[in-house]
Amino acid sequence: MTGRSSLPANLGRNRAGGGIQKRRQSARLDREGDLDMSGQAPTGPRARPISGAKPRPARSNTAPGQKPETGPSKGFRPVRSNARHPVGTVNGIKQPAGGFIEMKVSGWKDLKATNSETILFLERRLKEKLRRVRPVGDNIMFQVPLVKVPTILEFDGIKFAGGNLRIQPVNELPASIQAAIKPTVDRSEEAQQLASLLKNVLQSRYVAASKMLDLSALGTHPQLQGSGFFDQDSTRAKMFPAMMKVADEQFTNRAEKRDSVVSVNLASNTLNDISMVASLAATFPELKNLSLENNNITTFKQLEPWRFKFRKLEQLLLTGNPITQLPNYREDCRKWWKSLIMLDNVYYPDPPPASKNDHSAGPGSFPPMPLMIQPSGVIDDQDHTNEFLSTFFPAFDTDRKLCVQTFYNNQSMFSISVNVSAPRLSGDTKHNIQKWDSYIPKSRNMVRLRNPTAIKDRCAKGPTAIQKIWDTLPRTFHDVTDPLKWNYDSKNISYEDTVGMLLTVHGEYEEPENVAMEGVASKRSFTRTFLVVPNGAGGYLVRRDMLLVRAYGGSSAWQAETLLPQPAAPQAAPEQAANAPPQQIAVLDPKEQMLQMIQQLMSQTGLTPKFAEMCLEQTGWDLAKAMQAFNEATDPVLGRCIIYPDGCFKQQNDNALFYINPDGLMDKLPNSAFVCTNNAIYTYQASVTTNNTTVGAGPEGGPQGVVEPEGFPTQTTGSTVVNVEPCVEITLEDAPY
Amino acid sequence: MSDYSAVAEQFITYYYNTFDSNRQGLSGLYRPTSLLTFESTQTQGSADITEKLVSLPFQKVEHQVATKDAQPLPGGSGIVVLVTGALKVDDSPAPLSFAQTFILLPEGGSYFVAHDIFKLVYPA
Repeated sequence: MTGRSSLPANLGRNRAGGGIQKRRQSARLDREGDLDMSGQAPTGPRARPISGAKPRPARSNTAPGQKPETGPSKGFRPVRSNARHPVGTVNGIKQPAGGFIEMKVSGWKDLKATNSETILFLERRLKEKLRRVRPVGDNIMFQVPLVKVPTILEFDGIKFAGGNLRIQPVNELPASIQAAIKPTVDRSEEAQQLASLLKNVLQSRYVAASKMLDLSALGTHPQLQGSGFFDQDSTRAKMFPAMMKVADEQFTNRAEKRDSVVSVNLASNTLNDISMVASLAATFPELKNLSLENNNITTFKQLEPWRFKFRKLEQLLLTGNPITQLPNYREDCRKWWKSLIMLDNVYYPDPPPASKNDHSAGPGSFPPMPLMIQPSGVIDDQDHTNEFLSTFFPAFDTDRKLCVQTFYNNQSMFSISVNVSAPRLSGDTKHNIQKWDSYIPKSRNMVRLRNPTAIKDRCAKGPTAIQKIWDTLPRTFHDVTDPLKWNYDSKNISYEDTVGMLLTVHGEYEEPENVAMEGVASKRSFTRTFLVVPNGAGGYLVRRDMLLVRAYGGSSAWQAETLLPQPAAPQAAPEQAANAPPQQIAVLDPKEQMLQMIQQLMSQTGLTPKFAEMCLEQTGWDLAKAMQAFNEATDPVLGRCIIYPDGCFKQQNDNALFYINPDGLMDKLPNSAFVCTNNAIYTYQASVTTNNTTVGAGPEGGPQGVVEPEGFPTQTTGSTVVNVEPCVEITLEDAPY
Repeated sequence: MSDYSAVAEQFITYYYNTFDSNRQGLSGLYRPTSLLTFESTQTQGSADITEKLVSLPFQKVEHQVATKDAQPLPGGSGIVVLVTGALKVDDSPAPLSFAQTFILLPEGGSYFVAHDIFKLVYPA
């Protein structure tokens, strides 16, 4: 073996054989790094004797002119003579002050890149020649002048060959160096901007209702898109770890994390492995639901950092990754995450082994699964219900022929009826469409259809007839990943010979090919009643299927149940008693009571249903307090806005929302802020921010802001102008409720 | 089971007329095994169900049925019914949208309500 020929491909063998480990040196040899290059026995007293280690080739193999300090690494990297910084380690050359420090780099071992390539890459990026380079275990060890450490650490996490290199000092750094590192980071304006930006992104992506941190498709996030983080791999590689760090900093202790974040969605981030987000396991060790959908994970190796982590993980989504094609994929996932109940929306047939500490595990008491349909009615058989719903609707959406073959038999029946008089969600013209041409011909609404023959004909029996009706209906997309859009009840039912489940499902779907306005897919609301029985082969058979389609009405009718803790019986406020008809005080049940309160608040404030609900929620469902909050929250600068503990909503006709950087409004608004103006911002939804946007409003009478072409309101008529940056518009759906 | 749809229609008419005029009169439709799911609360048995319905705190109520559909249940003797419409309570100006599913099972020469699942489906 010569220095030249022993190329990276041999590394693995070298490691195994210990031939290179032999040269692992203590720091004691730092200043004399060349001493061991001869391949002779370790000279330092702390050097480990390794039995069977073969001496390295003598340095005589070194090419003429090669710098001697490359010796230790020549076994696995090509000879170089062009290092830009010939560190003064050669005898006779002055050593840098502070001497050298041992560093290690890891993170490349699962990658295709060889060690020498890794080192070359590092040296190129660090503009620093690495001394005493050698692989030790899973790391490459090297030495750098102490004074260079802060610079080098900036490259920690650098993207390389599809992964991230971890660059760390082997031992604790001297205090002087630590001091040099910390301020560099903190002082950096860029770093602060980054932290602030990432915090904004995190806040905008936190779905409080489902306790989900939605970090999916960050590349398309308006704020990040403008930031350049996704322009190149190296910056992207910094963004994710930074995001993880910022996320971690939002919480003070583990309980807070556990209580605040149950689910994390990392879908569609073009992740080749999880090294960039590996620290998620440390930040949220008790995560229950995790989605890595639609990334590029091909092997378990790429998930290695999370192996046996997330000890309470119950649901994992890896669909859309090549790894799902591996043989024994499901079994292997279960081995790595033993607590898994469900993988890719399909239940494991057996429950996970009971955990002594986790009372929520175990059949019959499945915890909420925010990444999929979530029940909010009465559920007799949670797991079968979930499994059916989360497999049926995707099948119905993607391949109706397959769906009918899978779930229906010759005795199955299907009928559809259309409720054209159901109200539309007020204010939402974007998604709403009141054209029913494609549904009416098949509608079996017996209120309108009086012809007995037609009534009979429009109840389809058997796969062929059912498919025939389905073929005439618009294509659909049911989002089973958003629990807020769904509500269902499930009853075990048994009579005569039939034993099964009676499911009533309320939800919504999109019609991807049917455009309502502004290029947005139209939405419909639906109610669907199924009678489902076991098919005898571990699956489900739909015996009866009744679909009712109506105009899109949103989902807040049942969100009140899912989002809110069971409210104390609302107190009828004195004002309410005075103003409202007496019979309206006596309302139905708590839910109905809340709906009526929402309505009353709406009529008194002009708030939209969603905002009225939020306002009431924030004030403990006390109408008087809600009114008070609404009035008091009218901000003299921004006009009418309702300030919540975690932000501010200014509501004006439900037209738009602006997310405002808290830094820009610290004086006026607590923490983050949401502002809604009465301009036609709607069309600018999800547009990208620009900096130094000015938002302001007249001191009286609310904002009269003008929408600039860029999509940002500016206001100059008021006495006060609030500078806000960056200002990003988000859609109603993005708001954290 | 020659004409389940006619039975369903009769039932729907009777149910909502009775509900709107004399809720107590609904008790005959339920049996001790019957289950009512009203919003997210469940009640079993004719007596409790009737009590639940009667105790709903409104004086005047009017159902406006917008759609109705029915299918015969497997076995041929029962019926599944799906109704949607609007519910006007007292003098509340805005009707509430509801969806309601019934399972009707035969008994003697008539039917009883085995399951009654009521849901408000629109934000008021």
